[in-house]
Amino acid sequence: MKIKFTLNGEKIEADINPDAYLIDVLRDHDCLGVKKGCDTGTCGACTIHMNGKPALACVVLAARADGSDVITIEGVREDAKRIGKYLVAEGVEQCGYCSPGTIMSILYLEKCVENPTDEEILYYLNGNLCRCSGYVGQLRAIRAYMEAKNNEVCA
Amino acid sequence: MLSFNTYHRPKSIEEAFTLLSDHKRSQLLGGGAFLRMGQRKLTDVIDLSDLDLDYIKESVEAYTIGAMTNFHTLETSEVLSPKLSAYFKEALGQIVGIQLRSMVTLGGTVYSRYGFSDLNTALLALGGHVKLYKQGRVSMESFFSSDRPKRDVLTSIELPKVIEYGTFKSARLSTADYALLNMAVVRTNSAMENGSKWRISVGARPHGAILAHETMAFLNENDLNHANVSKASEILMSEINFGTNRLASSEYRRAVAGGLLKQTLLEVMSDEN
Repeated sequence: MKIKFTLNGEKIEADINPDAYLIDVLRDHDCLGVKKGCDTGTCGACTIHMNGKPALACVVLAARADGSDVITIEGVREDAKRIGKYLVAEGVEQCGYCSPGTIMSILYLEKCVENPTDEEILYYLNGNLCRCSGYVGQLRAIRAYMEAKNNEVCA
Repeated sequence: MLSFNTYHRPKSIEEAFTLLSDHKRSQLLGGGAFLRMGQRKLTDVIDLSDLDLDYIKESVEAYTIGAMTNFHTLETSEVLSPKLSAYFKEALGQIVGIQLRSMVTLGGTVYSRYGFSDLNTALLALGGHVKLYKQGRVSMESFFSSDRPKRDVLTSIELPKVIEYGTFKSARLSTADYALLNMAVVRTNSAMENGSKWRISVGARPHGAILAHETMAFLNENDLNHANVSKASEILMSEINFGTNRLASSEYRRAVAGGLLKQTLLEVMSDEN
């Protein structure tokens, strides 16, 4: 079957199997930052934004994406670089496998909460598992990123 | 992995119901998160995305919530009263992450009557009704306790505006895992069908959520004090059936259930003082 959707601002047409999952269609369209971690909707490595909301590309049927607006890590390169610096500075960018999904969640957090508390950060990031670093470093990195961003706004 | 041959996105509930009736090996698609975990082979999948079932409406006595409303909307809705949305936030916050909760739907979870469900336990304690396209309005309790329901399209649920106090507790082996036991305790601000003021539901037993009627009756007839809290916890442990699965044994679940109720009621007592 044929589907049409917007991928990172570009209109896409794809010929898919009815039971294909979006993650495979995205990876076929060179969005290799969308990682297939657990493939059971648990780890968050395949987090994308679909119509402005976070979604797991391994859970969404590609057919359901017909007509929707999909953003992957490839569509937010500048933001990813900016946030990535803070993750690196805290030493939590180790194998890097979870980073694209984590960054997509940080961007959604940023959109929803202006000055998040630690509790809010954890609430928004709960769905992103990291096997290397533990979460304390990530929390520090997010806090530093948010603080720097707010200072920029004030200046 | 779920496999099927044809994907449908009907434009009316009647069309969805007809597709469901005409194809024996078909399945309605809510969020699809649990469905994808199995090894099901279907002929047809019927996606309910285009039926305008994603809404929360308020009337004088109740909230009506559409079947395609996702969990994250329940946690963050500004239509629901602050008490009710705080209750949902507490009940749903341990379900994997926001990404998953933005996808899984109320209808998919309620209709499937998943034993592990945190939402179903929370809903049963509130009471209310399930609305099915063909079978009409069915009370939440009889829907959850009936045998396998006839194939139908769940269109919405209706929640009475009764919550004065509500809390959700669960025990898990690790954060965001399935609950090995969950419990919702609600105190209503007006008498419901059975005149009861306390409503307690216990789920992930590992079977689906049920109401603890004897415990509720005891609490409704007696004052809340230390002796009665212990007594209520004992009644709960003896009236509810618990089972064993890979997460916990029935004995362990029984002990946890008694402990969670005690903890909840002691918290209520300390809030009141």
